[in-house]
Order: sequence, then C-alpha cells, then structure tokens
Amino acid sequence: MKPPRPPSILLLSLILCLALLSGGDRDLRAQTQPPAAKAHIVISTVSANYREGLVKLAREYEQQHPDVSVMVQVQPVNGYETVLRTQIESHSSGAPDIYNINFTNGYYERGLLVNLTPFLRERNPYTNRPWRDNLDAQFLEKYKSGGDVATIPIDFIEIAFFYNKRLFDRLGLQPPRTWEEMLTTAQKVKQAGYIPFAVPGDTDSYWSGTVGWIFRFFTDAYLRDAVPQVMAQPGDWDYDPRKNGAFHLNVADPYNDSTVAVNSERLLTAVRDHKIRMDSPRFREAYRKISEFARYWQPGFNGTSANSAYQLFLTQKAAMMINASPTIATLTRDMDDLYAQDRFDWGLFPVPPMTQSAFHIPPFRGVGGAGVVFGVVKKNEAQTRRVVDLLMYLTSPHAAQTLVEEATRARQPINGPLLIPGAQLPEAIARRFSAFEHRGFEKLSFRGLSDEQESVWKWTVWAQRYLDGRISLDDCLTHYQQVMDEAVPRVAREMNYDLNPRTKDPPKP
Amino acid sequence: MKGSIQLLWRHRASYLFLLPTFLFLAVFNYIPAFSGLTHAFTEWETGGQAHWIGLGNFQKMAGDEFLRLGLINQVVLLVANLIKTLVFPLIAAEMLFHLRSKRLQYALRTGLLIPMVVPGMVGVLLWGFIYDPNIGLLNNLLTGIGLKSLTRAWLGDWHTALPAVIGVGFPWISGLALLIYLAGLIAIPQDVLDSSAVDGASGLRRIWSVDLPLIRGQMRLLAALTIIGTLQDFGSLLVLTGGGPGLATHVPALHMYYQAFRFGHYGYASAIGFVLFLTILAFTLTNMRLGRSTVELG
Repeated sequence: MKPPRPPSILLLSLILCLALLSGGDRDLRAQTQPPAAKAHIVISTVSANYREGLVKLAREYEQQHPDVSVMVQVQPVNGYETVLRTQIESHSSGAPDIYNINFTNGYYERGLLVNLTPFLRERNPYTNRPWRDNLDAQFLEKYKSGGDVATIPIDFIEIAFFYNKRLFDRLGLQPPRTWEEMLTTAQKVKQAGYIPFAVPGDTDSYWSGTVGWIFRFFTDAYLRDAVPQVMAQPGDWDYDPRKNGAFHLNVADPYNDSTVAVNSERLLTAVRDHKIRMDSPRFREAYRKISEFARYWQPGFNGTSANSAYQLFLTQKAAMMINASPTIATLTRDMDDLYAQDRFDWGLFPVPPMTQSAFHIPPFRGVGGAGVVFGVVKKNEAQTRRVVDLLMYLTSPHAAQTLVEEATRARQPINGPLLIPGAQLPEAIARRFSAFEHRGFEKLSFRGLSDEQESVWKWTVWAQRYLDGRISLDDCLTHYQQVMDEAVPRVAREMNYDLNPRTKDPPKP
Repeated sequence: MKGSIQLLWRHRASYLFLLPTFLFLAVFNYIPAFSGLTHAFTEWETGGQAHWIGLGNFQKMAGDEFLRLGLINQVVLLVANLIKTLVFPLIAAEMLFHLRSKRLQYALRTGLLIPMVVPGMVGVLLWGFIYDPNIGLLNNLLTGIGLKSLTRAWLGDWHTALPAVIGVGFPWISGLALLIYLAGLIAIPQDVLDSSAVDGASGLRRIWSVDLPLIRGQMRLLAALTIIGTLQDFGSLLVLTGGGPGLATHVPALHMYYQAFRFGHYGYASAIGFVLFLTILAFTLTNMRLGRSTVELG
C-alpha cells in the first residue's frame, strides 16, 4: 500500500505558490526586497606583514562605505603567481580586484589590468588633493607600462650586504668599500674558518631571490653602454625629448640614465638581431666575476633555501649575506629572541663598486623597487571605479601610517621606506633603512628575457650548472643565447608587440 | 527493457543518491581528462583561444631537450620506486607475519601503520629539513659521529640530488604496501605452509618458493600503483627541488606542470599529459599481462 503523502509537502507547495503570486505586487515586492547586495572588493597580497594593517583599513573603509565589503586575502609567496594566472587570465569571478602586480609581468600589455593614468589627475577624496600628488613620481615612472600607469607602489624594497660586526671586529675587518676589497675580506673570513657569504641558490632564488639579484645588478652595470641603442629615439611613440633628448651616456655618473625611457621593442629587436649578445665579452666578464664571487658562498648553495641561508648568518656560521630591507625587522626580532650570549651586533653596507674590469663599469645600482605594488584587475567600469576609490584610500597618509603601526604592533617586518608621504617609521628601523636608499634602479638587466617565465627557468638551468662548475662559461652563454633567441618571439607575442618602435601597440583585446 | 526501467524506477532513491558522485566525477575527473586529450592537438596559450595544430605539440616534444633529460631521471626514479615498494614492505610484512607473539605482531603492525595518518606532503617537507645542507639532521648527524667529510648539500649537489629524492621515506615501508602484503600472506592456507614445512622448506626457501608465487597478485597490484604514482607525481619534486639543481631531478610530469601553470602553454602541457597517460596505460597493461599469476588457490 502506498504511504500517504505527508501534509507538509502540500503545505510547502501552497506557500511557494503564494510567494510566486505575491511577486506580482510591485509595492509589496519593494517592501520585501532585501537591501541591495553589497559590492565586493578582494585585495590579494603576499605581504603577510601588512595583514593586520590591511584588514583594519578594510574595516574602516567598509564603515565609510556600507555598500562595499572588502576582503583581504593573504597568500603564500610560493604558488602566488600560479594562483593569479589561473584566476586573472581565465577572467574568473573569484579573481582579486587589487593584487601584488610584480608577480605578473606583462598583464597590462595583455589587457588584463586597468590603466590608472586618467585617475591620477582626479581628486583623492581622502586627501583632497589630486591622487598623483600623494604618490611617488619616480616610482610611477619606473613602473610605467607602455607609457601608462597601471601600478601603484606603496613601499620600497632594496638590497644590501648584512655583516656580522662582532665577527668583523674579532678578525680585524672593516666593511669593504670596493668589490675587490670585499673579496679580499671574504678570503680572510674563509681562512678563519667561517663561511664568507650565506647565499640561497635554489630555483626560486635564481628567479626572485638573491642569485637573481646578483645577476641583475651585474648585468645592469655591464650593459650600461647599451642604453643609448635601446632607449626611445626621436620618432618612437614613447620618445620624450625632455628625458631622452638630452641624454648622453656617462658611466662615471651611475644614475644619469635614471629617467631615460627604454623602448621595449628596441630592446627586443636588439636581442633578436644580436646587437645585445649573451656571449659578448661584457657578459663573459660579468659571469666570470659572479663565478669568482660564488667561490665564497657556502658549499652546496644550489640546494640552500632562503631560510636556510638566513639561519647560517643568524647562527654566526656565515659572516655576510645579501638580503632585502624587510630583513632588518626580521633580524632585529630574531636577535631579540636569541639567548644573550648568542646575540651579536650587525651592520649593513651597500653593494660596493667594482674597480677592476676590462670595461669601464659604473658602480652597481639598486635592483629593488616597490615591495607592495598594487594593480587593478580589469572587470567592469563600475567595479573599476569602486576599486580605484579603495586604492586612493589605501594610498592616503592615514592608511600608510596604519600599515606601519599595525605591522610594528604585530612584530612584523616593514618592507622598507614607505612611498606614501606622511608615514613615520620607527626611528631604529628608519636609521637602518638609510643604507638602502638612493641607490637608483637597474635599467637593463638580464636573467631570462623580460621576466618571461620560460626563459627565466631555462636560464636558471644553465646558470645553476655553470655556477656548480658542471659546464663551461662558453657552454653556459651559448645556451643562454639560444634561450634568448627562442624567447624573443614568445615575448613579442605575449606583449602584443609588432616590434616596430614607432607605433604604440594596444594591449591585447 | 520495460523491466529494467521498472527496476530503475523502483530503486530511484538509491540512484538519486549516487547521482551527485557521478556528477562530480564527470565534472572534475572525466571532462578535464577528455578536454586534455583534445587540447593536446592544439596550440592553447593562457588567455587565448585553442587552435588546432595537429601533431605539432608532439613534434615539439620530440625536440624538447629538457623533456628528454627529464625522461632519464624518470626511468631512474621508476626503477627505484618499484624496488622501494616491492621489496622493503615485503621484508617487513614477512617479518611481521612470522612473529610468534600475536600481541607483538599487532603492536608492531599498528606502529608501522600509524605514519599513514600523516599527509604525504608533510613527510616530504620533513625530508627537506633532514637534507638541509646547513641546519639539516643528516649533515649534523654525520658531523656528530665524525664523518664531516661525508656531509653534502644533498638536494643541491648534482650528484646526490636524485639519490636524495629516492632516499625520501627511508626505510620505505609504506603502510599501504605493508597491509596489502600482509593480507596476501594471511590468505595463504595453513595446509600449504604445513606441506612446505614437511618438504623441508623454511626461511628464504619458503619465501621464494611458496610466499612469492602466492602473493604475485598483490605484487602486480603494487607495481601498477607505483608506476601510476611515479609517472604522475611531481608534487614532491616541486616542493623539494623544483626539478633542480639544473635538471638533476626534473621529470616529465613536472615539465607538464611548468608548461601549463608557469609558462601558460596549456596545449603543449596537454600533449605531455596525453603521452604520460598512454605510457601509464601501456606499462599497466604490460604489467598485468606479464605478471599474471600462474598459481591459483582454489
């Protein structure tokens, strides 16, 4: 026998029908309609040190804008670029609105990011001044993509040598003033039974870490003479007579090309036509010098992670390390956590200039740049407007000060000097940061081609083998040249370049 | 036909409960897999449309030096993993099986199986710490016992990186393999064991002539699982070495991952995946055919 239908089903159907019928009554619908759905903005960052600050700012912003909800996603560095690629390139609805743009090279050219240039002239409602007045002009210029601003820098990261003052004093050593003096110092440290330099050399380090930085500042110095041939020329779409017109190469002045605009298509064609060759005498000397330097790194550096290298310095097995400015806060904190007898005084010195070379090599420049650099993912006009408003809020002096204060309260490192005027750093940290500032930026540096990942990875394979002593310099550079030859068309396709420097190529539709 | 429909209708609730499982299987397993097969014949870059290029990706694979070097590592890893899976858990299972004290046998079996609850990736990360050249357990242990000259950057040295990867999980007694072997040994009838004892077979002789032929099915299963697992696995290598130094620990599955998620060449990555699938299928079929048991217990 069939069981009787439960009365609840009939009741439910009745309620459903009534609910549907009630939808015809406009007034009633207006009364019963829930409040308009909130707009969501997602900030995705790898800067866990600013987590507390960003969350606090997000809540403050939500209070000022009840129709907006802001989510802060702090992601691990490992795999961040993969997450971004998967979400942004597939136009996923879950893609962040604001993220650390330095993990995705070429996204503006590929039409995935918002052009922020028109917004820079607008009034920032949180400062009552044009937005650009509260942003660092030099960094905006540095990060321009095809003449447009798609990147808003928040803070500044630079590298320097950290050294163990106690060990230096015991061995009667002084911070070196030249590259050659530094290698002599390293030799003395080695003879005393210590590791001169703690250097992480795993695959990540060649791309975004220490070994990558070393190749970058070396190739920047050795390729200074190539700037005139790859900078924008009269007739090029991005030629600016104020910047490029008056430029004359002067290697005695390390920063004289700072404001010169390099035309990306000229650079690619120079590589394609072998006007910039990876096996040129300049590259050969640069690589040989790096190999000499590597003799003073700890044995097995290719298997050493960044954390492991840092531990070598912290435990006084290594006398020096190259590291970035956020390490100041980390090292200060970790030193406090050590037993009193294990603590040591430490200092900083900038990358010293090279004085002995077959070429006229200018002093090494900085390879750092903005630490947190935000870009806005292109979605729709209304969302862009909302996100830019939030970004204006995040770049107000109040927001910058909040980031500093919350990071300090949470014992988190501060990346480096903030690029938003009005924020005050704790005095002890500000003093340490002084060793990192005013170093200028690299102009032409190579590890792979234009950060294109396939070329970076292939270069890493050959560079690791070379520094490991498994292949000769000739082999390494021949393979590198091959990697570059293959990479040029890929990069041109990815960036939508027609390789004609006269025409400005639109971002990919 | 009508009967089948009536039967289906009668058990509709059960089928409805099963439906979500098959739905999710289709969405997350079968559709992506078939999509990979078709995309293997296309040029498909991130953000772009897939264009049919026929066998272009496979021609590219033939000339891919990095893939070729990865293949050599893959063969070494496959052989090593087969030995690790087939030999060491078997030794442990035999020793456990022949323990006189059942209580001790139970305790040891539990002890060997408990590590199964730890996620595999945690084990891999732990081994990363063990191998750390500067603060790792292995080098500190060697230094402590006066063998400092043997210390190495295990994962950073070209000569030791692949052997170090193989060494992960020492003494290689996988809980799953141990259970499968134990189940096989327990299933051997007591009268067979008694007969072999009467014939004078004991120790190694009995293992060789009685146990091994009768657990060939289990060995075949484990070999198939190991082949599939090894050819598919790139996660542990990605975490431990990233395929480096150079290409010392690079394998085709890692190459596929890099091509797809680091370089954005989804079409080419699909082609590598397709070839990996065919290779796994061929290995598994061969293993099933060659390893077919000739001894049946009835």
